[in-house]
Amino acid sequence: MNISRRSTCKSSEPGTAAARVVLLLVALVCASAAPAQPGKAPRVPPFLEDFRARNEPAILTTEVAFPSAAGKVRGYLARQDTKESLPAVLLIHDETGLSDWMKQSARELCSIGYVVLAVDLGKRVPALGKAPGPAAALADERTLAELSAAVRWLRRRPDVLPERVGVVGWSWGADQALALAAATPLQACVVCHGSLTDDAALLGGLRTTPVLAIVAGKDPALAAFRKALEAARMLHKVRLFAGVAPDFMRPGKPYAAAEAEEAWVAIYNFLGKYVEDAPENGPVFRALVKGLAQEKAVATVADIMRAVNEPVGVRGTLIRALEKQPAGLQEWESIRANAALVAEAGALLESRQPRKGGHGHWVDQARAFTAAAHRVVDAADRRDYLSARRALGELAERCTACHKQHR
Amino acid sequence: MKRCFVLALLGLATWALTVHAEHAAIALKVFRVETESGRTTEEVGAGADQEPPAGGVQLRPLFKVKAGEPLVLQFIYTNTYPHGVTKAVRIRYFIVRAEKVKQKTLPPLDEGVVTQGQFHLNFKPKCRVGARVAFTLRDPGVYLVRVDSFNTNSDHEHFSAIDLQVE
Repeated sequence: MNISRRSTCKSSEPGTAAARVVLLLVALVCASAAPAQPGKAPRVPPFLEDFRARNEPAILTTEVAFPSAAGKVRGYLARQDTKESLPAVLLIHDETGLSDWMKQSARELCSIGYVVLAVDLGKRVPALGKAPGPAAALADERTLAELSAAVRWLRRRPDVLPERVGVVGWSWGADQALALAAATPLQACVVCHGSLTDDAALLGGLRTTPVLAIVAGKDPALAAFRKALEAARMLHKVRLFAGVAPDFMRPGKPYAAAEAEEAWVAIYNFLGKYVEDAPENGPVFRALVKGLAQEKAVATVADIMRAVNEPVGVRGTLIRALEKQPAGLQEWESIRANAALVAEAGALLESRQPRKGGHGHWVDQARAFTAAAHRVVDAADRRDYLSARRALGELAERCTACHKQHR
Repeated sequence: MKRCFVLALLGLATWALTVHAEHAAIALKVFRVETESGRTTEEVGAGADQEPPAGGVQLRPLFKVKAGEPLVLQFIYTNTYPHGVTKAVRIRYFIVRAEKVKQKTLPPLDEGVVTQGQFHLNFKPKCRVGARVAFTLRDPGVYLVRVDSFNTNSDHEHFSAIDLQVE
């Protein structure tokens, strides 16, 4: 045992090197003074041995390839040598491609407990400063197919927690990350000095995916970007580094060390909060499940509207049934069934994208429509004719309010 | 009642100690030791947990010990972030009398403290801080061994804890 009589240890100035050295020397002296003892029981090793022990899982890296609808995708995978399933992060490089810096970033992110895939989209990368923006990225089906395949590939890995996947992109890659998050449910999206957009359709597609924007310099699009995210009720955070040039995180000419370190910590904290600590039954998880269901869905907004609102549709049937007091149990049960279907239609509408208008408003309207339908169901359960009529009127008002912005 | 021998060490290291995606890893253990031979006979360990919620989410280990026997607590707290410096972080450790095992609320530290200490430092990437403390508990009852962090610039703080039941 190596112990010395010291009641507490507190450095006089936070983090001073002098304090560390003195304490380290004390420990070293105590460690070397510990005598060797024979016997069967394990001897307590000197504290420094434990302190210096390298007992964290090693980081394994490998070049990987997987199929996508647009052909084979290559990437660089970093994961810890552990049997534990971990959250995952997809890294999308900037215009310089899958560089050594990107691979180093993958390893560093991996070291705090993520499976990290840095995709190689080198063949699709534009020249520096020629990135066409997130809206164009959303329309670029081939790149989007490759990135979606990367997310699916990560989610299917046994060492990945499939409901905890985030994406981080830089510059051109940031535009791709935003487009990917708009097309595929993810737990978090980090965009580093990418093009800031106020495209309502694109931002609406993010649904409940939180967004962290690392912004360099005075970006004139920042105000509109923020306003659009707020209008769409998107959970978002902006870290502005006003005094640096774009690409300040990448080692090279515009590199700004202090700001880059600060940006990384912001990214780690954001991923920790929204990817690693993502609740299994949280909104993003539900969106993921809903999104997966939607991939198999065939009903468009127009289909739902026709099925509900046409004279022979569910709501039309409901209106006719409530023109007069229902005669008995069978009629009330029929009213309840139709009202319940209208409520389900409201939930379906909420999961769809509006043809026009803001996504936040669309969600609000769809929820209000669903709530009104629920009131018809409740009234039917209570055989309350007047309440059922009143709730039916609210349904009509909801339709009108929604059509004003989204039809 | 208390006899505390402390070896405390504060230093930097260049490696991490984590599997979970968190900004801290804690390896806390309490072990029995034969003072003459320096040999350990039994030990209980705990990893990192986080607050809120109060009391964390992990099951706290329980170590049953005898009054008066020599014990040692050891912890190593590692900042797992590869980037950034978090300034003026405080890492505290203590052993305090508690009312019951699995107690969620923290016992007050103005009485019933067996030993306590703290480090104030700037957290550089992958730095670590630790201590080994020898102690004895002469009064039967329940005690809480705990290491926790403050001011790590995160929305949650980390801790590690073990309950001791002295018979």
